[in-house]
Amino acid sequence: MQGFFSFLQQNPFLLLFFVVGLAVWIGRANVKGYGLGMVAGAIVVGAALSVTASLYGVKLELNNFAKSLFYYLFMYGVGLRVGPSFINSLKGDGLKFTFLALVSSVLGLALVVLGAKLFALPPGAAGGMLAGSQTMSAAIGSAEQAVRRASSSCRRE
Amino acid sequence: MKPEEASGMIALSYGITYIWGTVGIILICKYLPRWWGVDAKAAARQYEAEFGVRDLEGGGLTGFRQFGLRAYRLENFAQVGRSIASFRKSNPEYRIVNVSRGGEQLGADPDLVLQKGDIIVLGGSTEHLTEKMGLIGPEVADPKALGVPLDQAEILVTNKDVVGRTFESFRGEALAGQLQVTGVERGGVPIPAGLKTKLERMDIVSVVGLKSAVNELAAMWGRIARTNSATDLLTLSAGMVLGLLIGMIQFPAFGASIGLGNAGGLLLSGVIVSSVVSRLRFFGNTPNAARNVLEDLGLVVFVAIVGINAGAGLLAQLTGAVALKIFIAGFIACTIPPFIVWAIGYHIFKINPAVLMGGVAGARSHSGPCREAAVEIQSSVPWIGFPVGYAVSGILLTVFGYFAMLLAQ
Repeated sequence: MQGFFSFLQQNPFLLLFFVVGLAVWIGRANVKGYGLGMVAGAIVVGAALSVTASLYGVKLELNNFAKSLFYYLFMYGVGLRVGPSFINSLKGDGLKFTFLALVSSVLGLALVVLGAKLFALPPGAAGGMLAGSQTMSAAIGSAEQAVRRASSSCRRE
Repeated sequence: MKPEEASGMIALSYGITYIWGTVGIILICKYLPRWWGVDAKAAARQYEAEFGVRDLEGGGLTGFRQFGLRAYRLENFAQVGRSIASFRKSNPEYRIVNVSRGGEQLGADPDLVLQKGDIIVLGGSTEHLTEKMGLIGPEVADPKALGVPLDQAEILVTNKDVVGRTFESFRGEALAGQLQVTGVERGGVPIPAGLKTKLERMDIVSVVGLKSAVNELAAMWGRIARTNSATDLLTLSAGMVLGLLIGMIQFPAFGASIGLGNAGGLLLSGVIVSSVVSRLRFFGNTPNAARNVLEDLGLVVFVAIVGINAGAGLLAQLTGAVALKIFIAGFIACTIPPFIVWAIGYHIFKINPAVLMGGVAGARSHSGPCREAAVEIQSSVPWIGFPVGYAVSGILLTVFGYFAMLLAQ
């Protein structure tokens, strides 16, 4: 088993697509129509694999440049997709639904922040809870940016 | 706390809250009308009747063809010696698509004079084609004459003059009888379209019909989309550069400098590029499939790396008490907003409950509950309320990850 994890450690690209492939496969499985989905699958598979590897004394880690690159491509793709309806949403009947979306999103954010403060949860929990409870996996990315920003400003001071 | 630990915490709390986040919203969305004592199924029927919405699921392949091409041998002397133009004047519901004389295909020039024994190919709705029996002569099976090229295309609505018009208003056009609308997509989501559905900019309408009519319609509404499967990588790169530049802009606020950052800048440049492309039309071809790869691969690879990098530190942080607190906070944050949204939409905005079910799903930017709602009330009406909220909250929630971290400090 240790040999397997060392092999993955030495071949980061293989590790990446092994996790992605496994995540898509697991994400497809469903019980009575409720599936995990590939994105949630990816975090579960990725974290589980690297926790197991750490038990064998192998630290799995992937490049941060690659991480950001894929995230940026994703964000641009989201912009392309929602662009036209986003513009349409600013007029007529769309305004009602825009308002509802605004209410829902702001409320979700407020409840997450409130919960994190009330329970005195460790840093990072708020971002993860927002992404999870609102099932908006992309929010993990912006939460990560906040972490990176905070750490870089600490170093500067 | 070290940044690695914060990253680990993000991954951990995401995993814990995601489970109820996805199951909860589906259950809530599905049962909200019942809890409110509203018959969403009846509301959907009423909406369907009012706006002429067809059932999306039921619109599949059936034996009935609304539109057909049939060939007849000309034996009725009333039509012999008339030109195609004069034939159409007295029978405007038909269109002569092709004339075959002695095995030679003559096409359908309006001045062409019909002769006895010609094979005439008529196009029109099946109702009309079976109405005036004997107008020309017996029906024949002539594969050569009937070998008229048909086309299937997706038309992108960009023309200002047609935006806001209903499908019904095009019924009078000459080409209406030669085309069939097979589907409408708005904001990347298929929506149920009926005669009263209004066209919006950037709707993608799938049509089947005569090649000439398809081209004519495309010229009238906008342009044919996705004919070209190549992706304009130049525009893609330019858009990425633009987004990164936007992300660099910093302005002072609250005693610190604030900017959109790379991700926010790219989101904005994507919105800008796709809006500009929809107006100028001649560049930036990004087929939906290519965009889906950007999105799906981009997100899944990113999240996989987050998971892998977070994993090692997870065990140290995870205690039962913290996990339970995270679950409870996530449970509340998932459960309460849809109720508020429903109450506002139902009592204040008076939105049709069936449409509002889609609106609730859209406000959470999740297609799962909308699909469930559609199944629950056996109607595709919920999809009407879905796209706008889906786009808006998609952007808001994505950006809110940052604010959640900032505000919870």
